[in-house]
Amino acid sequence: MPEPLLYAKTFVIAMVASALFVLAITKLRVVSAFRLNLVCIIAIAIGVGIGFIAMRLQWQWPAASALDRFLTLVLPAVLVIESITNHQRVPDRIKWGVRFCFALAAARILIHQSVYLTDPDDGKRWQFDCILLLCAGMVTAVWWSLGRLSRRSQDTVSISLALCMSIQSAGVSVMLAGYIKGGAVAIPLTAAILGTALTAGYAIRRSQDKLPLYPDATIGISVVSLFSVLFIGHFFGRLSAADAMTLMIAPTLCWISEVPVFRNGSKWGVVIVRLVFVATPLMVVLLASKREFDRNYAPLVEKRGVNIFFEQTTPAYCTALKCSPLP
Amino acid sequence: MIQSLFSHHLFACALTLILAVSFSGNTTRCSAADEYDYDLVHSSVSFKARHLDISWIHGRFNDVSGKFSIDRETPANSTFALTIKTDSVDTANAARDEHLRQPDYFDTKQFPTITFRSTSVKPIDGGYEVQGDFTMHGTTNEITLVLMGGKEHDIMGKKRVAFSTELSLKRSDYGFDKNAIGPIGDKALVMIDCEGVKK
Repeated sequence: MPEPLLYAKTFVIAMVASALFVLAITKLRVVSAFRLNLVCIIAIAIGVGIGFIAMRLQWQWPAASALDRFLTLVLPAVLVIESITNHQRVPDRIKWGVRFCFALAAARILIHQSVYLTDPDDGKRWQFDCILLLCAGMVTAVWWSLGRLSRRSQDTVSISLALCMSIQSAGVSVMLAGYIKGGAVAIPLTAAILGTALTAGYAIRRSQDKLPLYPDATIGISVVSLFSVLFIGHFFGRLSAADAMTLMIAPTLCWISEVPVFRNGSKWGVVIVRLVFVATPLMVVLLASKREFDRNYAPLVEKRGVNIFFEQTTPAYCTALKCSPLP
Repeated sequence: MIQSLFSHHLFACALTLILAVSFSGNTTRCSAADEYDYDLVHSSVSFKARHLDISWIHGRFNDVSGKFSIDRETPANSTFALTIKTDSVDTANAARDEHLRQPDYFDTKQFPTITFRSTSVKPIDGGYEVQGDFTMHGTTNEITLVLMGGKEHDIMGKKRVAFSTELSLKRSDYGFDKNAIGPIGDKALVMIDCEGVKK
């Protein structure tokens, strides 16, 4: 049952927690690129953790569902991997090899013990393995392209903002497709990444360090989070493959800002171009999802405005009807 | 030589006797327990859950399978097993059924079946008290079913037996998210009426 007030509270708490952590550390000392990455990773972890507590999100250990596996295995793993692979001494080939293997493993972990593996149609198993491979390839491609853009344009903040928009849109789409908890997970993720990216951007601007500062970890965590929300929404919920693909690829439209017409404009102009181009397909998907929601779940909504699934009756109404307790 | 032949003969006789006794024992046990297959046509697994705490929503599962063996002489040897496909949930509303298949409810892609496997059977007046493992939504709890019935009927040369039971479950005991319980209520009543056809 969606609870907008709770979601708003969660968003603010997660964002403030992450931002405060980054501000507190960067205020105390000037940090190097590697250390800023570590600070960002810890800030996201803190923000997400506090956000999940604020949202009273339940998960099980040992992980039983895909969402449990995302929260307890995939998300901590990407935090650890990003804290290691972002070290300058790690060669690019190894870094991207590890990231591709992780993307492949993440897809396999999320789908673990589901009907896709335990009860596949005859001869469909190899096709499903190909789908997992394609998913891992797509995640790595998006991850690589955004990381490269970040270094090329020396701007991570606008890319992180674009990713935040995508993650939040993915969450809303998953919710509109009927999987409320799966979509709600996107709220603390978006908030923590947003808070971290904005304050990290601020820290970079005021830094006297001559080293190039690109908190790439924010991008990596965002891409994996986006992928996980969409993957779970598609394979366990009812999010269509087309919508999931569009939402996954949308952040790469940030590259349009590298077209000479836009690249030579002001810094803010580049940020606006990136956000507008990424927001356009997201809006299309959200509108389509809303239309699907109205079509699929309209029969569940009574004409007098009482929604079977999303509203609770008032205690007074229940008392008036003398509700009998369950036997 | 004669002694050796005699001892061989004695050994062979003893072995035959042991085999005969043990084999006849097994045969007796096999013949005492009648095995039945769940008859989907004449059975139903239905449920009802509170809506807004003012009414009941009824539903059923259309794809159920199972088997049970009934040992009339030694009821403790009887076994009962039931497998319900969660994807077959039917509440007479396609949109609601689709919603119930989602991970917020049954999560049918992750947990495609609900199963019951008996662990002990005790005869009671008019039926059996069956203890067993009930697995739903990835969580297994031990429950006790009171199966009423067990009368046999022979129709067109096929033996049939039937049982009925009702059980009350708390969804929160089976890993369903408490936050998602909302207007549907935590408790659900499950009604099982099953008819078995002898193999």
